Amino acid sequence: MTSLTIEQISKDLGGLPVLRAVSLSLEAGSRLAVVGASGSGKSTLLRLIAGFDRPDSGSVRIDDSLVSDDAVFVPAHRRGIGYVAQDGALFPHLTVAQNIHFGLRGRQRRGHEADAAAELVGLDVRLLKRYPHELSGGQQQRVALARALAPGPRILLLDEPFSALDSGLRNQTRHAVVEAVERTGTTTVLVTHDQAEALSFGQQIAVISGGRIDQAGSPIQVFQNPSSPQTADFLGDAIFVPCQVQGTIAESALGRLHVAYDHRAGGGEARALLRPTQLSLDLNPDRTNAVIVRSSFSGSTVRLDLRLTGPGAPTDSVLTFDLMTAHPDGYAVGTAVALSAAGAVGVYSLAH
Amino acid sequence: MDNVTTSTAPRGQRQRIASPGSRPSALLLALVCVIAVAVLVPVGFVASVVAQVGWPTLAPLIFRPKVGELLVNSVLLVVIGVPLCVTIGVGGAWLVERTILPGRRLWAVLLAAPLAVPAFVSSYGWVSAVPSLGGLSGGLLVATLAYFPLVYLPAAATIRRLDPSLEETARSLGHGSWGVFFTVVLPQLRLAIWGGGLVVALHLLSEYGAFALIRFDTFTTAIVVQYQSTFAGPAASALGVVLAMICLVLLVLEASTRGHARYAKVGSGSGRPGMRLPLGPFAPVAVAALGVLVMLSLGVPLASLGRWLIAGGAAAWSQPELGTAVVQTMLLAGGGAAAAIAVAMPVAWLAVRHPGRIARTLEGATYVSSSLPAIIVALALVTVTLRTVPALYQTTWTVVFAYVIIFMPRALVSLRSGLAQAPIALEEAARALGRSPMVARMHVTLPLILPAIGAGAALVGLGAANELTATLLLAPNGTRTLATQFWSASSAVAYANAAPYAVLLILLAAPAVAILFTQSRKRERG
Repeated sequence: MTSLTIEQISKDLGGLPVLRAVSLSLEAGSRLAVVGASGSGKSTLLRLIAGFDRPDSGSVRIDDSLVSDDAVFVPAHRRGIGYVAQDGALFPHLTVAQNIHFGLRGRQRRGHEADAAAELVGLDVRLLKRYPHELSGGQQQRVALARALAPGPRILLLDEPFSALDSGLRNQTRHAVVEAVERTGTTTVLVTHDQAEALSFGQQIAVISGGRIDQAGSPIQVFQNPSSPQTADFLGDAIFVPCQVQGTIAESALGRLHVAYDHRAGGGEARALLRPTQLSLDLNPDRTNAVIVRSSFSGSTVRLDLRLTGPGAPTDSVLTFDLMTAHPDGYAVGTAVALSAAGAVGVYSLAH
Repeated sequence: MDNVTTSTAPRGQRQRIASPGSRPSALLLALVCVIAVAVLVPVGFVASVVAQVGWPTLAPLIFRPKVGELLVNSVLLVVIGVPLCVTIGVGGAWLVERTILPGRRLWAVLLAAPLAVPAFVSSYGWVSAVPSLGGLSGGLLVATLAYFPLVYLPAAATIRRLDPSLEETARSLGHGSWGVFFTVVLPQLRLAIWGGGLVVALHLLSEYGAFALIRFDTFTTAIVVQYQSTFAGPAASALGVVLAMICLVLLVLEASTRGHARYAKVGSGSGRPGMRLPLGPFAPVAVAALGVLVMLSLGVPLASLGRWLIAGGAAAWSQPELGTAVVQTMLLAGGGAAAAIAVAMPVAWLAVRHPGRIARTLEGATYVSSSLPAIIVALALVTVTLRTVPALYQTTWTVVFAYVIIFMPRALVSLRSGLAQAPIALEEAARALGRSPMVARMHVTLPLILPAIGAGAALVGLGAANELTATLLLAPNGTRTLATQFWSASSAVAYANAAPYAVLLILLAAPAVAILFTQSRKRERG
């Protein structure tokens, strides 16, 4: 089991800063998902850990051995890493078995390493004799994973390995990956632009944007207490309700909300962060505080735009959220409703 | 066949083939710079002739009636020959690819096949069948029939790759079949037409054997005559300068009309084959037209060749020089192929893996020299070797170097498309699995580009085997290749003796044409 420590890594590409003083550490045997939009620097970070590129400054340690800093640079082939690229990067001129054998040396090749690796990732051993182009996308990614795991890497690096797959296959393949790395106890870093994938993948998540780590921690912690409204929005549907904060109480058009986290800084109006799951709608209330201004049906959910009408509500503010309901009719435009929120909230200051 | 760019590099594929942000190593850059400088020797030669011999000496040599006549001949050849080749090539490509033409698979092959008959062999066939053939009309007839496939191949390749949804959209907007062809199909063929037209023009200007046989004077034939009487004197150089200038003007013209136009498919989607038009009552007309075309371009030359083969009988095949010529041709052509691949590899690597302004400039430099007629390359190498390293004059090394300059684009185009299909991610995967960068290249990239290396080497080698002018001027005394032997027999009107060489030349050219044909028909992946 191997730990990974990254300290103050910076990298420019073509004169533009791609990573700025990024630090991360990962316990032996754990899984980290780095999530960010495209161009956030997440793939560059992975390539620096792999040793394909050299950082401009900062250091990378695998366990206690320094593999990259100003003086030292261990190239990729001596780092003992496993790497799975977005499209799998299977060698098209080799069979599946030859692909899996590629990273093995001498005696290992004669053993049943390929069978074992195939079994580990849930790959049918009858596919071993085939060529990559004869496999489906999901099978190709499993082969790429088996190939990366077969030599027993110290750290496994996954560069958006599921993004080329369609959604059903994506979940299935992700479960296979998590299961395989759990069984081998391999320390793993995944980069992805898909927040749901990142949240469900590992013990740790790091949100990266503009070449900086915005926030890192356990998925539940980061999701419940995002450090900025941008991070909150990136990780899932976020509804920001104007409010007035006094101590641990936020007064809003939805009533009193309990403030669990206060991230206000400087001026700007206060906004309380609510997730759709915290909201409930009453169609036949005694007192209404919102009116439906737009309603669109999309299967199991109804997307509603609501204008708050309660005391103190700004007239121009519209909330949008997806409501899960068994009775999608009845949410006609113009209906006055009562919107209420459950649970604690975080508050932020939004500059307008 | 030079410059027939039937590149099959996959477009719009997500795989990275260039290394982002990583600069090419100093060694690679230096190597490519040296290569670019070396292959630019003929261009430098032209410039230095103008500078050293000086305008006062050159002007009377250039401005004389004889040069005026050559200029008129060469210009008319290009001005009439290129549109003829474009019309026949594009028309044939459209008939084969986009109409319900009876026997279209056969026509597809037959329209490319004239490339396998070297122009001077085809001219030999024509002149021995119609001895009165000559002058501009004779030159146009022979050259158009020999070179229209240079437009047909890229045009057919482009038509096959056109996104049919564009044509469907044009139809939905109310255009009929003709309207769709002129408003949607033809504009998308612009690059193929200009590119193919340029290649035809350069071939017309550099062709020697075909025109010399029918006594039609162009700059190239005049330079050879001049060279044989006065060696590399200022008269030959003066003609060479004018010829080189015409070629460079054509290059600039083609580059400027090309502009920034890109006719790539926007968005992804399955590359469906385009729809075919029923010809109805015109089908017999189309078949008859193509039949006449194939009769003239293949039938006449091959029939005369057959006649001379029968006339020569076994005696023609027992010429003692035949065996020597086969061996020497294979050695020279093989050497040229190996050298061209070795020289083109660093250039292709830089162009594909580290694209940018530097790479484009260096790669462009190699194309400029290859566009000059072989006779200029030969003149330049004669002059340069005699002045700097006389020991290299008329050695195998010089011939091979000339082949590299003349045929490098063939190697470059093949290697480029091969490298473009060997994504860098595969090398990275191998490095992550414990291979050093060099070993990763040997184990992963090399096996993937082997077919491209083979195709490129074959195209260069087969071109070199058919090369006449540079071989005549540069080869060591006593060298006999199939092309030079064919030439000395046919120009001495010993047509029966020339026939066996012609057969061997066609057999040698056929695989190269087969490679070009399959390359141009490959469908893109993704």
